[in-house]
Amino acid sequence: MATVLIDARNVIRSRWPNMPERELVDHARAWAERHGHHIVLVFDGTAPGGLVGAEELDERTTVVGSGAESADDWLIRATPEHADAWLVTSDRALRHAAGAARVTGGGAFLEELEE
Amino acid sequence: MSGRARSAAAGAVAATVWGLAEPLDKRLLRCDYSDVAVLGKAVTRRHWRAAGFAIHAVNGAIFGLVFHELRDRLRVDSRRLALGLALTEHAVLYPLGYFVDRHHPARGEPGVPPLATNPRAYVQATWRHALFGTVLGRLA
Repeated sequence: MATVLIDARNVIRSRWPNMPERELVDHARAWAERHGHHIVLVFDGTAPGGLVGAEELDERTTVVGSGAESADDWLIRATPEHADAWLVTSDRALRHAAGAARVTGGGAFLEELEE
Repeated sequence: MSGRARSAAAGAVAATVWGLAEPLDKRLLRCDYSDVAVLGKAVTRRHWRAAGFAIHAVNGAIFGLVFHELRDRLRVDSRRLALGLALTEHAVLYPLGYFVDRHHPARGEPGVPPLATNPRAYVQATWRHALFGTVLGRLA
């Protein structure tokens, strides 16, 4: 099991038309269940439902609205806290700054969600 | 100012007008594609807007020089030539968006959406090139 930290808006923008936010949460939640990972979906500002801060949807899924802090800064701060961190983003600057053990691009992750 | 310098300056101004007009088509077409962001975020994340405008202006100046040389050789209406060249460049270079989608360091970030499969971005790029060609043709 890995902790999968997802740069949610980057993943959403990785495909045109963009995947709706709720749909990303639902797909990612089902994917986490299938693969036995813990996922943290981090939204810049507010998460779906106007959420600011962290909310556990179930034992495998946490949704975060980063509030005044950028999602990038939140992820850079949180990634080192997880030795098994798997970061999902296509943003190269964030990839370098976060230093996750494993990285996947947004588009590739969307394809994986839909397998 | 020589004709060549005037064309280069006109290209730089036209590219800057393009950059300033981007918020308008982004709002109208509800797609945040920005050439200023694509260029600027390819080289820096901190000062991407200034870098994007600068690179875009340089590109515009180079385009203005090419326009100047062709205008001397082709003897066609200057404004039509500028517009035609700009739209030709758009048609030829837009497929390179495939590489932006796969290799841009800030892909998926604001201003850098998928391009190759994005009809709204294509419309935005068409309008922006038309605007660029029109301004270049009037000023050069």
